[in-house]
Amino acid sequence: MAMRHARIVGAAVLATLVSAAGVGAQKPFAAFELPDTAVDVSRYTTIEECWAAVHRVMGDVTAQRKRLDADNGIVWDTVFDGSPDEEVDSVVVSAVAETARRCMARFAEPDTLPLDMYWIVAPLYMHAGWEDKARALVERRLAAVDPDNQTELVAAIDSIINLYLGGFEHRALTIRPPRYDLVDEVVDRYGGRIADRLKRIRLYQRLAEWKYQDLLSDSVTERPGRKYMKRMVALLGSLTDAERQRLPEEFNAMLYSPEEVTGGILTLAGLHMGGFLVVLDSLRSSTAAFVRLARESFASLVGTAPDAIPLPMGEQAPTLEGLVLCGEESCEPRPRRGRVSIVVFMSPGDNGCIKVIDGPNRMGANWCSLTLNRLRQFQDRFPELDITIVARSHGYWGYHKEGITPQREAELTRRWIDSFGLERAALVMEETDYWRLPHPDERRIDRESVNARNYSFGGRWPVGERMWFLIDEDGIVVYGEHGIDRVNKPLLSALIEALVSRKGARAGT
Amino acid sequence: MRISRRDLLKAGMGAAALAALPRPLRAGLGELGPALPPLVQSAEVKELALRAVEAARSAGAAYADVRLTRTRSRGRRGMADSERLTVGVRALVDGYWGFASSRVWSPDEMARLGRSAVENARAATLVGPAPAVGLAPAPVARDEHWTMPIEINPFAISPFEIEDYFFSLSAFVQRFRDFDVGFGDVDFTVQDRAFASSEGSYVTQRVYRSGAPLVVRYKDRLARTLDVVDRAGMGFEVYKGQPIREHVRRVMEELEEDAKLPVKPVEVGRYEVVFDARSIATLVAATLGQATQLDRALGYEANASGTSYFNDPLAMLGQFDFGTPLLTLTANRTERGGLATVAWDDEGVPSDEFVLIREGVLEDFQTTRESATWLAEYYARKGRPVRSHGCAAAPSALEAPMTHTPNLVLSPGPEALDFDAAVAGMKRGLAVRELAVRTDFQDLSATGAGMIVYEVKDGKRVALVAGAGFLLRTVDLWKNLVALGGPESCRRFARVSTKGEPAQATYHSVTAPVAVFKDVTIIDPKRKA
Amino acid sequence: MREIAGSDGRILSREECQELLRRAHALAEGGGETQIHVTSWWHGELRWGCNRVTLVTDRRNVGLVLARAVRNGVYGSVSLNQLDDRSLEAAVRAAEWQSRRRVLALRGWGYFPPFPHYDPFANAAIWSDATFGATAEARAEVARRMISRAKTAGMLSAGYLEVRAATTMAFGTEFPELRTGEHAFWEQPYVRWTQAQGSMTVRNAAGTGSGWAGLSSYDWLQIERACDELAERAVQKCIASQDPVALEPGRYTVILEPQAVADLMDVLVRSFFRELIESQGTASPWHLGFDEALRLWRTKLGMKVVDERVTIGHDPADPRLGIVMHPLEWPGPVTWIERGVLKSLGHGFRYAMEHLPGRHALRTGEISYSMAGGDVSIDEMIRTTRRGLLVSRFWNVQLLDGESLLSTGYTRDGLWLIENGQITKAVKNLRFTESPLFVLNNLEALGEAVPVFRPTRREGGYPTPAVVPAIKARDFSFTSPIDAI
Repeated sequence: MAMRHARIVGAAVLATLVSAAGVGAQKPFAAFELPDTAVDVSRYTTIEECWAAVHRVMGDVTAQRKRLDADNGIVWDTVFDGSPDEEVDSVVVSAVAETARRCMARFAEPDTLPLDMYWIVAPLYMHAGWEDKARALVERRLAAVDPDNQTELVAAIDSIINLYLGGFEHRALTIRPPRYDLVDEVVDRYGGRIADRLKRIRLYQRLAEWKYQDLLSDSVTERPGRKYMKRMVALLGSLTDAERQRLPEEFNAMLYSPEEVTGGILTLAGLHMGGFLVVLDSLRSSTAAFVRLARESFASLVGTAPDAIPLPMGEQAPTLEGLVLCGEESCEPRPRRGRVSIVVFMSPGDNGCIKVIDGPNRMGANWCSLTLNRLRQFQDRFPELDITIVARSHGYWGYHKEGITPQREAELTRRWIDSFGLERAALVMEETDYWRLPHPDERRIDRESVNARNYSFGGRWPVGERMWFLIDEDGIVVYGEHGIDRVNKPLLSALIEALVSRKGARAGT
Repeated sequence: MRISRRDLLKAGMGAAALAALPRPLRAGLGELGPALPPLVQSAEVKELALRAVEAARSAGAAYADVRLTRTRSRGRRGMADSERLTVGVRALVDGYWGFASSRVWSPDEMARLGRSAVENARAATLVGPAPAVGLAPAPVARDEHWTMPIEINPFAISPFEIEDYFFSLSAFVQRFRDFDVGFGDVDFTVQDRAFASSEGSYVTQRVYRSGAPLVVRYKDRLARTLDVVDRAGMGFEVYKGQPIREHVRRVMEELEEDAKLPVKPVEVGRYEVVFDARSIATLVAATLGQATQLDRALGYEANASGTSYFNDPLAMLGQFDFGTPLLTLTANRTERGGLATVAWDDEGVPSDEFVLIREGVLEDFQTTRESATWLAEYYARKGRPVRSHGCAAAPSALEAPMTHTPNLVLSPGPEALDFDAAVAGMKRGLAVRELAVRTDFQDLSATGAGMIVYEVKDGKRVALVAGAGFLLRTVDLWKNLVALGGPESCRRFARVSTKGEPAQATYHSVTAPVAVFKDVTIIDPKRKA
Repeated sequence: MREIAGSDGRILSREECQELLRRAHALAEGGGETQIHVTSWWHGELRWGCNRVTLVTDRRNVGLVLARAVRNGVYGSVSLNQLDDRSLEAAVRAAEWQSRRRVLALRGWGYFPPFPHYDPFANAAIWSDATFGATAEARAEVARRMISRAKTAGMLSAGYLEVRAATTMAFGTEFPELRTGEHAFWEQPYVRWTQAQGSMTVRNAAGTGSGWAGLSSYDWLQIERACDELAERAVQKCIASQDPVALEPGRYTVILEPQAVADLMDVLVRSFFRELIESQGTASPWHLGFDEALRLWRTKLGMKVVDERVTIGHDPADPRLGIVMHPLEWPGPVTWIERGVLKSLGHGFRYAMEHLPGRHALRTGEISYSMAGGDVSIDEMIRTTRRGLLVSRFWNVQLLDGESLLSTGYTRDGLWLIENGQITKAVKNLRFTESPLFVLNNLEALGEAVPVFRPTRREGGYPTPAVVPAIKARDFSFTSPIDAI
């Protein structure tokens, strides 16, 4: 059965990838002959053309696969999210490898190629599966760096990290999966040649922050960047006073003191390391314990006071203001005591959300839908989780404006959220205060959102689009981040799991 | 029914492998066929054409002709973006021309168009009797066909190849920091044409048109258009047939050098000026090309874009002297790669090459079968036959043919002079790249601006001049021609000829060398009186 | 709007357009949606030169842009002018091929309320049966009258008469379940219009004089009625403009005839476009600098920007001004400048939704407009001018600077010097460098507002008529002489 479907699907895919039969080939009125689309890339004479071919094939095959997914209802995690997951990725990988091999066959001698194009050639080699050639080319590049030219060395290592970890903005030059082993090779051999220790700290900082690693790690505790984090911490600790004074300049943070800069570097790195997951267990006993341990572990890494860390952990979550619309349950103010809740700031008028619809192209999936879909997944997994969407009024909704009121916006937003299966989520619609420039300009200037201001906890924490806060049953903020993406979804899941199981244990269930 | 990931995986892998195969994928999936034979060579099209002419004749036309065209275009992302069929019939009745056109290729429509053209011509007789229209003789061509010779048919290759090419060129430029490239409105067009006349001609043609100017930009400050690629009567070889990357690289280096020059505001005055080939082509088209259309010169365009300073053609032919023996301008519809190149024009006249201006003296005009007869007296004096120079053209069969500028060639000078050499030989003056001009309604004067204007001192470019405007008077300009570049400095560019009511536009090519003029007036165009 | 039931096929009817979409969508493979944008046009032309009719035509065509978005694909489009099944099918396949190359997960991802009801605009229908029915003979008769006037005067004339009819419609298959009316609010309902034009240039045999007159309207009868007067005006101007003398460039008081005013005001009317300030502040004449605190570009809305006698706006209900074509518009007049004060800049639908109180898109420039007139006749303007120039029209007007609207171009077909309240001599044409904003700020008098010659250039394009007055203004800058006549 499965095989038959595979063949049918295969045929469908073939048909979509390859031009259909010409129409009325010999009749005088035929229009639009469909082109013969196959191109012999082995005839290409320049490396950029190989880049172009790989770019095109990657795009086309990814699009085909995503459309098939979408046809079969698999939309969110593959179609919409920027990074395809590993299993389906192999389709793209094999198509791209074929093209890369054919085209790059004539450029297969890494020793003969111009060095200034290594950043194009090496990824294409990797796509073709010629790892040794890629490494040889990278080695050639690094060996060619003038030993006295530190700037060039740092820049080269930077580029190579981008290369091996798939960090270029050009999709054809983005390697999957990211190759930490190859980065390690380069850093081990050349990192030490960076004389300026601040520049070395910068290098380790960037490696520690690398996000894509999470895509392939089953456990967020196994982040390869961890070892760079350790080296960075060690270096930071051993800086001389003179070096410390140079920190603001080196890290482009001239308005801050060296201590603040140190704190900032380590906080962010630590966050991406998920450093506090080692203390995740403590969340099962109490939030206060968790918060204290988390802040302390950060503090020990950071070398500053625990309170100096700009995370909203341990704060009392303010009650949300505005119209509250609920599903089946009565509408108490949110967040509710006695419930584990997640508060998500997301409004139809946000960029990347519904905003203004002026044609059919704009009616469809967007980043808000993605977030709602993920929330739905959490709802399914954790039925006792309280979900609250915090929106604000804009004076229009999609393509409706006549007779629009905040109540109407709330109703429409309510129905929109419900259509994702989130009937039990609460919607808080804050009536946005605004003023208008005088007639005849009349542009609307929104005032600050009260809920956003309250949740910024004294301005220390910026509340933006799709920002979420996880709140325990006592109303204490456990954690918060911007957006639910592939990187932090497992993290969020683990936190909710811990809270829910704790609550269940308390209730004796 | 949900399909499992494994199934998708398998299907996808198979498909992906297939997608990368280089062989044309035809076996078992439907035969696309080789590049189709030109539609117009089919018997059906000939049948339609003859029916239209016959209908016009039956309705009373003294002369009738018909054009059928099929035009296909695709853009640089390779897909056939547009396709049009058109047909137009002309009929000459009692000294008046009638015309009818539409998009329908059917026997009934051919008959309707034939009749309609005649009715339209007849309606004009209400204005009063007209002098008989003479048509210069043209050889009758029966069942002949011509296909524009090209090397790479953009409609026969994979659109992916075209797409990859432009991506790779863009990638090449972006490898160099601060540079950017623009391809303009690149498209590839193929037009099949059939022509039949009541004199018994039936000819078919296939012409191609590819390319667009390519602009390299530096830091959003300076920009240069490549002079080796422009729209042409060619296939994809307009790009692939030459080392574009080398030229781009050279232009990038020159832009970097230019960016180092200080920028000065314009100082008005009169200067000696070196113009690059593109500027000269622009000047030729604007001041000479349009002015030598005979219908325009005689006042037939007066209600549209204007008249010509050649306002008494018969008196001026052989007499009007620009005052410089360096100026020789020839016209043709024969050169390989020319945008106006055909085997027969829109009246079935075989394409021609002829001299418009010889050593500064006006020698001929652009003519059609009808307008050639208006110069009969002149041709008789010269002992030349009265023949159309084949300048009848229209964008498609939907528009009635008019005198449109053919390909123009400005003869180069004898010495090997190019832009750099001309600059090196200049003591004090300006050097201009990519002049753009707008003429007045008699082509007597023009204002212009250059893309890049250098101040030259002692043979060196010492500064960039910002905001310079050029004030040109056609006759003075050419009289002040000091030197022409050599053959190596010649380049070919695309120009548009727009005329008629309603306006119709056709392309032609202009080949020109660099040139040096003296006493060119430079103004500040934004300065008010 | 009256339907043209069973029309003679010169232009498409609404039913034919609707049928086209139905047919195209029926041919679709791969699900998804289909959109078409279909235009049709017919021209009847008559052209003459050297007092001789050179061409009489009947031309017609259809333009179809067909877009297909396969299920979860983007829109791919092709354009063609054939409507038979085979061509449609090939076009649909070609559009689908393009569509499949990228993914756009469209429908089904959330609830949307029903579309707001769209009222097809209750504008003035600029359709004239007289224009649609104007025969070649009728045109020839008009040409005869105009040419004979030139012949009688011993002059050579060239001219052009045209009648045209055109239609357009843009719509698709998307979201049938959300539609409350016939059209979704982004679609262009079927609309048709006619346009007629007549113009004539008269020159003497020596080529030392040139006069021009022209008129355009949706109604051919206007042209027919005015043709003798047009011919007379062109002849008189030719005679009066013969053997012009050279005049020093400089700043002059000018009396601009309505045609010249329209030629100059084009760049001004095109600048009424609010979004331009948002995107490129200094490219618009209407910006007031960037407000750092509010993080937006301030505008001159509400400020007096020109003389208080100036009012410029657009009214779709005015039959002299023509139809509006934008699908999202709620019909209504828009006044960009009212008594010298900048009242509106026009804006699009998105801008209105996000920033403004209403949802209306208001017309931005580049459409038909009318400018309020005054009661000073041209004769009176001449009488009160000590020294100035009378301009018939401008030609080849080109914008030099977007912020100041400084433009350049030439005068054409008649330029006269006025001295002490009288026209004294014909003057050679001049190049000008001036801004319409400057002219409107140095206003001395306005005449009666009249329609001018503003034909649609593009085949199938819609007209942009203008109703403007004659203007007398100070200090108009002419920068160099030209020899062209």
